[in-house]
Order: sequence, then C-alpha cells, then structure tokens
Amino acid sequence: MTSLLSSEENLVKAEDIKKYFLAEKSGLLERLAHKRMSYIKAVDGVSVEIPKNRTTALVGESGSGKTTLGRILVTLETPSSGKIYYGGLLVDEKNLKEVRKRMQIVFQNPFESLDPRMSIREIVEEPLFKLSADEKQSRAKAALEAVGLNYNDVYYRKARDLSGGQRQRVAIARAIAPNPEFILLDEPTSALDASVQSQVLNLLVELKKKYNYTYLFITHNILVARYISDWIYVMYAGKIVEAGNTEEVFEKPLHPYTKLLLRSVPRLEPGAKLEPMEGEAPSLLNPPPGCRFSPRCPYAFDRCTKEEPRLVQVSGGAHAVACHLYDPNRRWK
Amino acid sequence: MNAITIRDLSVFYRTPFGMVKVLDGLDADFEEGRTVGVVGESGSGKSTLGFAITRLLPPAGSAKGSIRFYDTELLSLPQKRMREIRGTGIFMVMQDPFSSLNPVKRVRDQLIEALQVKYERRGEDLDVPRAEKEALKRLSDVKLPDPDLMMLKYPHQLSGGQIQRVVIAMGLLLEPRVMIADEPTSALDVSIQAQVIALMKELQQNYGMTLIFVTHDLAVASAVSDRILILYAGKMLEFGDVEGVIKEPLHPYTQGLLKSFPAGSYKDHELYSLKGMPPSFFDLPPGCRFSPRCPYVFDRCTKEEPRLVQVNGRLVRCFLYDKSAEQ
Repeated sequence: MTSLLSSEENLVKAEDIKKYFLAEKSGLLERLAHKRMSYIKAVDGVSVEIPKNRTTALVGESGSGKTTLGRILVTLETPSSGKIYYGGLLVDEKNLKEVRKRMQIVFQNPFESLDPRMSIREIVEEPLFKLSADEKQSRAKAALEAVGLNYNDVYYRKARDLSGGQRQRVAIARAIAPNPEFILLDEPTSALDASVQSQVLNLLVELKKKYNYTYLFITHNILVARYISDWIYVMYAGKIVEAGNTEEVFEKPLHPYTKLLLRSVPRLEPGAKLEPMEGEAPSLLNPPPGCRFSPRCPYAFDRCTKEEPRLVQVSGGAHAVACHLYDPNRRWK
Repeated sequence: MNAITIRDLSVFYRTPFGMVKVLDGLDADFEEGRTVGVVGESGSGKSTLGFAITRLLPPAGSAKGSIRFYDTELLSLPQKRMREIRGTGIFMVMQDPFSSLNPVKRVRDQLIEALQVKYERRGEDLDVPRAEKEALKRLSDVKLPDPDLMMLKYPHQLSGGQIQRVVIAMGLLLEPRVMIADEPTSALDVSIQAQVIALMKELQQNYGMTLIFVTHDLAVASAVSDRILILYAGKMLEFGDVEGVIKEPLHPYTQGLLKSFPAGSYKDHELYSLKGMPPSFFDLPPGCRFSPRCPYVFDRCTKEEPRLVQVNGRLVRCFLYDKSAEQ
C-alpha cells in the first residue's frame, strides 16, 4: 500500500483501527432476551502512519479518541479490529513481546504515573530488570543526566520529594533508559506550570535530535503540537479529520474543525476576539450520521449528513482532509 | 470606584511543618465594572486570594489585613453578615465544576433555590413560574442547548462544560456585584473554553459586573481581562493594563512567561525557558523571591526585598525599576 502522506519511511502504521467499548454491562437476562448492546465508538476506522525519527502529533479535544488510539499504537490496548505494523512487521500475539521492547510511554500526570514511595533509582532501573546491577546503574545514570537531573542529587530520593517538572523528567528518563525507538508522549506537559512546560518541550526536542527517537505526541493544545511536531493528525469524535505536514496544516488548515480549533485557542493578543463556535462534540454512543462534525459545521450541506467523508489527499502532497467541501466531484453527487 | 479594595493582605496556613504565608502583603484595587486577570503558577497564592475575599478559607487558614467590598470591611464581618454578601454580593465560580452543584438535586431546583435567596434578600416573594422563566432565560444566555431539558437534569448527566455554564447561569441569576472565577475554563476543551470566555465578557459588559478571573494561563487572561495581576510565591510582581503587560512586560518573570509561550516550530527556534521552578513556601529565597531564576539578578536582589514601584502607570516589584538608594 502506498503511503498516504509522506514519502518518508514509516516506523508504525495502523490500518482501519476500530475500538469499541461496551457502554453498559449486560447481565444474563439481557443476554437471554437478546437485548441489543450499545457500544462507545472511541476510535472508529482510523489509519495512521508514523514516520521514523520524526515527531507526529495527535491533536483533539477530550473524547476525541486520541488517547485510546495512542494506547493502541503502543499495544497497550487491543483494537476491536484493524492492523498495526511496526517497522513493516504485522504486530500479532507472537511478536508482541519483541515489539513492546522497542517502545516506551510518558504519561500526562507525573503525580500519578510515578509511585511516590519508590526511589528515583528504583523507578528508572525498573524497566532494565534484565541487566546486571552495574549495567543498570550506568544506564540509569546516563538517562537521568540526559534529562538534566543531577544523578547524585536525585538517585536515592523518593518521587514524592520532587516537583512536577522534576518528576516528569524522571518519567522521561525511565522511558529512555531501555533505549526505545518509539516513545508515546501522552500530554507530557499539560500538568506542568507554564514556566516549566517550555523546559520539558525543549528537553524532548533535544533528546530526539540526540537519539533519533520517533515520537507520538498526544496533546489537546494545538500550539504545542505546532511547536513540537513534523506531522500532525487532527482527531474529532473518533475519526481523523485532517492530517499532514505540520507546517502545511497550520498555514492552510482545510477542515472546518481544524479552523475552529485554531480560532478558539487564546493567544497572547489582548483585545483579540475569540470566535467560538456553537455546540459540543457529539456522543460517541450515537454519533450523528454522515460527517460527525456536521451538526456544528457552518458549511454543512445535504451530503454531509448522509455520507461519511473519507480522508483523501489534497494538493497532491502531504496533506489530507476528510471533508466533502474538498471533494472535486461534490457537484455531481 | 473600587468594588474590592485590598490592603496589606496576608494569608497564613497552619501546616504540620509550621505556619506558611501564602499571600504576603497584597495591595490591590479592583475597579467596579472591570475585569482583572489574576495570573500565577501553582502555589502562587492565586486561588487563596479568591477564598480570602469570599472568606471561604479552610479552617487551617487565616487572613490579616483589610479586604473592603465597596465600603464594607469583610475580614471583621460576622459570619451571618458575610453569608448575606455571598451569592448576591460576591459570587464565586469554583475550579472544579463537579463539586459546585448538589448532586441529588435537579438543575431547575438549584437555580430556583438561588432565585429564592435573591428575592428574600430584596424582601420580595418568590413567584415560581416567573422564577422558572428567569432561570430558563439565563440558561439560554449561557448558550446551553435545550434549556428546557437541561432544567430537568441532574448534575451527573451533564458534561464539565455544561455544569460550568449552569454555575455561571446561577451566578447571573443572583446578579452579583463581583464575580470571582477560579480557573473556570481549565477543565474545558478549547472550543468550549472560547465559548465560556466570550460569554463571561459579554455578560460582564452587559451587567456592569466586576470580574476577577483567576488563571494559570496568561493567554486566557489576556483574552478576558482589562488589567492583569501577576502573582509569584505569594507576592504581587506586576499589575497593570493588559495591553501594557502583554506587549511590554516589565518584570523579568512576566517577560519569561510571555517568551516561553509556545509559538512557531521547533525547527525555527528553541523555546525560551526560565531556569528552575517556583520556590516552596517552606524555603523562600532571601530578598526577591524570583531572584534565583532571574536572568538579570544582581547583588541587591538577594539581600533586600524589592518594593512595588510605579512605572508608566503600572506597578512592578523589581529593583531594575527602583532607583531608590540601597538601604
């Protein structure tokens, strides 16, 4: 299959991923009565490509399915259907263990993701359990120093003694200690203070340059995504609505939802009027027919409420959008 | 005229490790009918300020100094009188939307309860059908879809954004003179956040309400406020008109915050970042509290505490602008 977006080599590729969660547990009686079960369609038929040695951002609001998709891509969650390729290899039960060794995760909130009673040493050495004690220590030391922490200062301290920024650095050190190729960063800066957020973003850029990691950066903040990423996917209600080269998407956003996001993010311009768009994201239990953004879309027309738009390439290059407005055949349908 | 006048306000918390002073000698005027954005990072004392004004500090907290609501001194007011000011005088929107409504009462009943308070204080009788109409109108003012249905729902049936708007609608029903909003939008998605900000601005202008908008996000503050107050480790570092503070920040901390705001791409430039992190209240640095992180720090900063000086109509606490002789 040819690549949708980039001519670059992909490290991870996912095809037609779906993840449905059962909305309510059904008991024996319901099952005997063949009651229809309802599902939350958190991710509904999504294909993504994550180019090697690049940062790919996954942007969306809460409930867009971005975190679920991210977890599926690092095999933390099994999709209801769909295929994942890692380095060209189809991920299945047999090679799952091997594949997992090559990926790591940094979670959003370091106050929850690190055990407050474990020492920094235990936290960073934990994923290196197969190595000898000496090797563990030298790897942990290198990782802690790479994230800008003084090894002797923090090694025996407990996670609870550190500030949010320091804890997030520890979480990053723990992720890079086993030498992964692919790192999932799930909102790594949103729990941090403004003055610490930029330190962590800079650190991530520096580490990528040094060790050639491939990042998948999940965020709700479109300005952070713009800063950190080379490629971007915009999600809405379980679907990818726009994807492409970050610069192109920001210079020429196509999907009405991407435009809405860009207009409603506050920037440092006093007096600048935000232009909010009415409405909220739809329920994933019962998404609207056709395009899921159509109930809020100012440009919606007939076809939008009937037919679901596919993600198609535009401008012959590294940019794709799922919107009937950009379908050259729309007039004849 | 000032709606809220604060003089030499200090707030202390009793902790197992001793007393900490989370607000230290704050002087600030909140002019009637304007919006002040109170900006600070976690531990700056910004939420404490809201709780001190409404006298809702936790039992371990105590406030010293003076907080005047128009002509009434709040800190020495008996609880009973204070209760009469809360709601119709000063209304506070709390940070966590899920804890601000009663979980076992319908939206309708909670809104009518608020109206009952308003009418009682005015010495009028509550006319339920009229109150219901009033509540419906405010629910549509805050752009909630299907207000009729909304009235019949319980809080757990609503999303965070919807609850936050119900709370704001309740605030509007009470027609307070002052509204304090503590991070009202940080639990919301950007598209909803923009709706709430636009709404608060519009209502504030229509009702001439004074708004104190507490946030950690300088960009959000710049979108709502007329004036911006920067708090850092319990001290006010800068206070002035939004245009000036954003376009020409004076204090090195404000400058750093502005410069570290993500813009552009990593390919073009590295983000500016302030070194270090905000200090702990148990271990405050001597002299200026920002001095360990300040790029322009000099001798005097670590020895003496800077006072507030006026520069171009703005207040700033920094020796770079204080030409007075060293003591």
